[in-house]
Amino acid sequence: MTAVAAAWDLVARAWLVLVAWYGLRRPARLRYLGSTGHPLRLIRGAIVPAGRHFALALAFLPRQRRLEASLVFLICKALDAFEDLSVDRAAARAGVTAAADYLTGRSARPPRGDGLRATRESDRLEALLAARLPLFRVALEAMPAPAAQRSRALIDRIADGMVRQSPDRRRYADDVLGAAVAYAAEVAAPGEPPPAIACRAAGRALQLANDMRDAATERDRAIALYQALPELPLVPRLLRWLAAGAGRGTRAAATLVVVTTCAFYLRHIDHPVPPRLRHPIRAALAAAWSRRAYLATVAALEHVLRDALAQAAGLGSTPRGLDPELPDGTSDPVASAATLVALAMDLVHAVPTGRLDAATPEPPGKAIAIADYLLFAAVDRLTDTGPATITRVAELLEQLAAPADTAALARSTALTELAAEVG
Amino acid sequence: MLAGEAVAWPLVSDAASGGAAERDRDRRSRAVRELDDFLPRWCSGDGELPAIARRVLAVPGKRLRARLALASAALGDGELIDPDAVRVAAAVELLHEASLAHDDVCDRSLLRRGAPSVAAAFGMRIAVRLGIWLAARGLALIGDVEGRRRLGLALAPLTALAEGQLLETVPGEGSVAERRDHYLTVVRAKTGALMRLACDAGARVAGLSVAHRDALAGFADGFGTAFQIWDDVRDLEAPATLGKPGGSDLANGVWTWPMLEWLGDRPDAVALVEAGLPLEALRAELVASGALRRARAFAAAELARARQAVLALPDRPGRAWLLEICEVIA
Repeated sequence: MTAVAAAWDLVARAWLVLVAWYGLRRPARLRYLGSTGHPLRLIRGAIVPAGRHFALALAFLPRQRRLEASLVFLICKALDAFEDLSVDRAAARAGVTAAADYLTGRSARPPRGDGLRATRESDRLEALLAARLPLFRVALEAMPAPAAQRSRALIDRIADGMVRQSPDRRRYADDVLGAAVAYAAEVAAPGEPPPAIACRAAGRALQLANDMRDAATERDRAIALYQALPELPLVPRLLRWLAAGAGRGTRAAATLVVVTTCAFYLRHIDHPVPPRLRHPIRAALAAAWSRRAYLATVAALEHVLRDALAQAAGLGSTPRGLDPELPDGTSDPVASAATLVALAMDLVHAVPTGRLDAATPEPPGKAIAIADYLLFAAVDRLTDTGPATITRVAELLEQLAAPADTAALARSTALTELAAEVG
Repeated sequence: MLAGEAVAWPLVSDAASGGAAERDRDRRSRAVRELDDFLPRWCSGDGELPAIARRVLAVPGKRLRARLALASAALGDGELIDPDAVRVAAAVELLHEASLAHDDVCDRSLLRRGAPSVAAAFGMRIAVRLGIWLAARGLALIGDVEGRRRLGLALAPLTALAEGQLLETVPGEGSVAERRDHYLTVVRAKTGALMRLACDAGARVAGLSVAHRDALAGFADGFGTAFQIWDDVRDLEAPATLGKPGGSDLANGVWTWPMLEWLGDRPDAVALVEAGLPLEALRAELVASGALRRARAFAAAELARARQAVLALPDRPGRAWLLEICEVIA
């Protein structure tokens, strides 16, 4: 890209950020979007009302990635329309499959989107996108071959997940939003294999946040929040991975999405949002401005999520026990497990040492339940790497159970040794 | 036998089998004795946690989950007592003991099996650390067997178990149907997950097919739900048999199945409980309203489902053993 083109792209991105910010609360221009015959106009007109904060994040990306990501996002919304607005499950499965077949070129005829039942404004926009698949197909075909290939692969994967419709929302998230996050990471840093567990965690955190927004009862909301607890601390790991190879726009976009999502969770845990994370756009701009500011935001996220976990566990704060220095090149499963184990052990060491008796005011039951949840989530992620790891994980937990106080725990080198041995 | 249960299940009679059933029973007893001997040896070592662990293991409960693993392993065509079956059974037992050590702190239980709980005797943090240590020893056993046999055992049920414990802390709300749904979700995770793991581990040692392992998972689900509801009923009806004071669920604000049956009849039940209804008054209400009877009937239906699943399993000694384990809910 020439200097002039780069400068022009920068101006365009600044303009798009402003437009997206301005359009955040404005309704979609449905008549225009339904009549335009140009794919680019459809994408530009639909992305902000369909994506809201996500569209704002996309506006930070350089032109080619922005177009690809916007197109894929709108296609996902169209698939969503078939999944959510069809008259029944059978029609939903048929619609999603037919849409994917059409978009990926396996069939010549798009599914009819006129049977979709849209009541809300956002549903009407999604239904409209479902009816405009031919324009999306034209846009897909016009993309450079590698981009078109990975986009089609994602469409197939997401459609499969929607058809399978796993009753466990986390499995569903792995199939749909987890796949989308992994795709986004691949677009952001081509050639670098993205950290699979961190991508999965981000996908689950995004899905469970959606579920919390749509929850019919407080109980459903609380369940989704608990299910997100082992995922949230792993999300900043994705940002750390991006720090190495991503450009300014990608850093800004990722910061905006993660900060907005984490702020949502913090509000539900009743935990204050620290100043650095209070204004997602400002955090995104700072991340674009300097890598140092970006890493400071990541550190702030890690810190506040740790505190929020303590709050969710019913504790004011937790003593800091394990803070392992993991060797460079530590694998994604080991680093993820180390994060979860360290947080769990902090909760364990917040449990009072006194004997339980009838006068014990309020045993820290929730802290223990969350610590167990994090520990077994860590075991689950580590043992993904194969049976040989189980024995090593058992040794790790045995070593970590032994220290009676936080100071002794802090001296433990068990996690560092695990990282050195397992990789 | 539970109320409402009229089906005669095909337990092999001694007369019909020429003493084979008697021999199987002897071998089962030997397998359990081997398990009892193995557990303290596996938890040997210096330090406070191994010492407390051996003390805990010296006062066993019913070893129900371990027996499920042994019985499932006895569905294969090999030896009734495969040493690896004893090992995976011991692993499941250790994981169960780990969860009890933590449960006692969460549920504020001062007693366990008629003696002071670990949290009451040694302190709450020690109980939590002991739980982690016991789980680690259990995982070490699984790792050992996996290393040699490549069973492909999934450990996701352990996360489900912890999740069930956490979801139990979510206050109940909504209609009776929604509350029952939530209860069953929690039970299938908190109680059922480890039973599924036990059956699956034994089945993999026995080399059972996927279809048979699925049938065993169905058994574990039905049996786990029946067992938990039966435990709920005993907690209200005859707490002395539990080795701990009754009414602990009520004290912890947990709505058990008998209470949910009662709630179906008494829309003001929530208000009564929140106003601090004493345990004795609650018992009287549950008996008078027929809620306890209906809870037992529901458990019986779940148990029948479990027994039905057993019939799809190979006709080997493990089948009679699983059916015998069902008799514990009597």
